[in-house]
Amino acid sequence: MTDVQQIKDQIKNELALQNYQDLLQRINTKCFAKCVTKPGTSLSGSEESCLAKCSTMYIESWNLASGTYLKRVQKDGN
Amino acid sequence: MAEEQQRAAFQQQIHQFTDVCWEKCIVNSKVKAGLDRYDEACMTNCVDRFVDASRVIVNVFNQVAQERRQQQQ
Repeated sequence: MTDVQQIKDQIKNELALQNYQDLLQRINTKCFAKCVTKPGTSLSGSEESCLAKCSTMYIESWNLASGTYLKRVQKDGN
Repeated sequence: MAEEQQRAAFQQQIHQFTDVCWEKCIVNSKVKAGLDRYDEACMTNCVDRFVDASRVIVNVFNQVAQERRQQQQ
């Protein structure tokens, strides 16, 4: 493997990690707002289950936005 | 490398769309195991209309900028 290839792979990994962290941070913000409306001394069971469902919904939303935009870009060539 | 940059830019764009459209479509929707068809339809429309809206804004902006340039000449 060449050095150039190694650097390329490294950049690829870092971008993937960055994307993952961006997604995680947004899920945290959105789902905390949606699920933990009145913070108590600890997370309740229902808050935890809400956070799990909300995370799934956010990831589904991300995938949907991605698919929709991809289709749009391919259609318009822009 | 250009491809990686394009991918990163695309993903940033998707983060923005998801963020904006979540506020429009899902923020008041009931938390459940997954998106229902209303959520899905709203998300899809929201992304498409956001793209439409940004094009309208770019066009208006360019038009105003061009008029300014012509006035200055």
